Amino acid sequence: MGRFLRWRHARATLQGLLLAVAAAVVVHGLVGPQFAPRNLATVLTWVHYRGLLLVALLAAGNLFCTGCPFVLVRDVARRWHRPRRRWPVRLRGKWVALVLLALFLFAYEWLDLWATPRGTAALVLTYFAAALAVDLVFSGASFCKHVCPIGQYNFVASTVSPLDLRVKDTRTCASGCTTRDCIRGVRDPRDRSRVLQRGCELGLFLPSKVGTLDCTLCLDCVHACPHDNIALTSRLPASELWDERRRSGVGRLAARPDLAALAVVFTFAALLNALGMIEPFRAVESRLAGLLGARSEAPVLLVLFAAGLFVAPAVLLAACAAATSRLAGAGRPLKRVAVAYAYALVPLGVAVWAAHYGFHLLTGVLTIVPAAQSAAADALGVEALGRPLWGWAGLQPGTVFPLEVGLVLLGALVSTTTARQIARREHPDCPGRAASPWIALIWLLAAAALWILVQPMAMRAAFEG
Amino acid sequence: VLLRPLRAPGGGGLTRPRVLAATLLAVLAIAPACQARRRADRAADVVVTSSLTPTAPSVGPATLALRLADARGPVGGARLRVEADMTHPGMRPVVAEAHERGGGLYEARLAFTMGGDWMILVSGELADGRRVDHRVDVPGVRAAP
Repeated sequence: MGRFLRWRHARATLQGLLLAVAAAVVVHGLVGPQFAPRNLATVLTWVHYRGLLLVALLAAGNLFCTGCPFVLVRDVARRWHRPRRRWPVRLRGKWVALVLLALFLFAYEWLDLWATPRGTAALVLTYFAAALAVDLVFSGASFCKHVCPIGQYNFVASTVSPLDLRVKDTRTCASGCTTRDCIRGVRDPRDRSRVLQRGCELGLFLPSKVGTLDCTLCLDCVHACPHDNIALTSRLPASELWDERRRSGVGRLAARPDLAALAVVFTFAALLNALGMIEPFRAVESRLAGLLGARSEAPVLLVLFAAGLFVAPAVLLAACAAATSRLAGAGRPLKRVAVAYAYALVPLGVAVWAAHYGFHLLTGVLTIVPAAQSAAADALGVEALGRPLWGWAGLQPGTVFPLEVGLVLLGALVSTTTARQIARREHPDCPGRAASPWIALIWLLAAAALWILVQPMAMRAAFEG
Repeated sequence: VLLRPLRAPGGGGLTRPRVLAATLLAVLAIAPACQARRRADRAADVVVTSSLTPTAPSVGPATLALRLADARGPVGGARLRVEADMTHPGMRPVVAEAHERGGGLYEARLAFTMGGDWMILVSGELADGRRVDHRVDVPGVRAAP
């Protein structure tokens, strides 16, 4: 653990920084020019935040959950109001968050949030309100673990991150630790109700923590451990996807259909979200609108989202599971086979998201300069940061294309490896045959991603119902 | 001043209020030196009408025709700047100068670089120094003709 991360206020510093960014997004989004390329809300959120989030996930880990400003506001509010209830057992798991993630992506497309500074600001405010509402009623990190769509997105994507928070020496935990401060926290010995240092709010007991799922990199465990036995260490990216050990706070991956469904929706959403950027998507929308007799975009998008995020994945996964059962000759329930292998899609999903958001980040990285200059001029009445340089943008789209293709191919290769490793575990007698339907699906999806990349861009043109 | 110790041995060094006051003074001193955002009067009586050729544009060249007129007739002598942006943030804008063709007509040649929704912002000055702004929405520019 580096010096900065060891510092007690490291997280609060990162959160403060992102809180300032969120404040700029909200203020400029509400009162600034309602023209997306010239407003900090839309530029920061849809060009920089999304792209940098993927860069951080691929280069290090879930750093944007570390710096989450919603949790900072929640922590401050909890000084006045302590939650008493626990998150309902019926709502535990990822089903609620999965539906919210799908709704979030649907709202993005339907409300044209990328082009709506006020809508973007409202989204950020809604997020603050939701995090406060949930976490002032329910204890722990209920919002992060069970509700937050961005958090679930980060959890799934972080499985391919190169860094992971884990114990340095398991023997220290087994023999030298009696307090389990990493999960219980540290309390004042004179006043047991007073928490000096939180333990993991997401229920991850470090000695049996495997991988990054449900880890917000909040560093509470690091500060709580009296033995300085927790480290942020490197690992083989994606290897946790075929690790079948029982995980603290998560359980076994093969026994978590909700997590598998989240991984699948995450991957198919990457394709659907990118599909919205190209002209053929608009043509399909128009035809569908004609068939449905729809005058607004909502019913058309609803059909496309239902088909793209739920129906098509269900059909494809069922087909692959049936083929694996047939080829491997093991009479297991299809659902169990599908859940076991679904995680193999994640690296490809991350790659498609990274290719898409990386495109926006690299082609528009400098647009923050004129947007900030303009915002400063709006706020101060003088061009304190100089005249806005509206011509500043970033790389030419053509130069980013090879990187996008490379990312998709790399993602498909890692997904292929993951499928083979899962097959070695699930069907050790014939891993090659068992994995083949999944590898075929992975490359089918990769081909779809590459097809999307070579299509003429229509940059989310208006609905033509 | 900033190189002096924060608190001199005699107690007369830079206390926090003094630092804040000095910072405030520095900001006030610098602010006028910054280029003031000039806001000329808007020419509310001048009507701007526009048309785009082709009417359903694709990626590639297009011509924006602008007509300026007030109650007395066509308005000439304006200097107009045309900037086309995609509604999606993060894309490079297309900038062009509008050339006067006479009779209050101005033309700007643009080249749409990508399919999608565009917005053209026209800004400029009339001969009398007043400001004129105009916005043209161009939804659904086709990626291919």
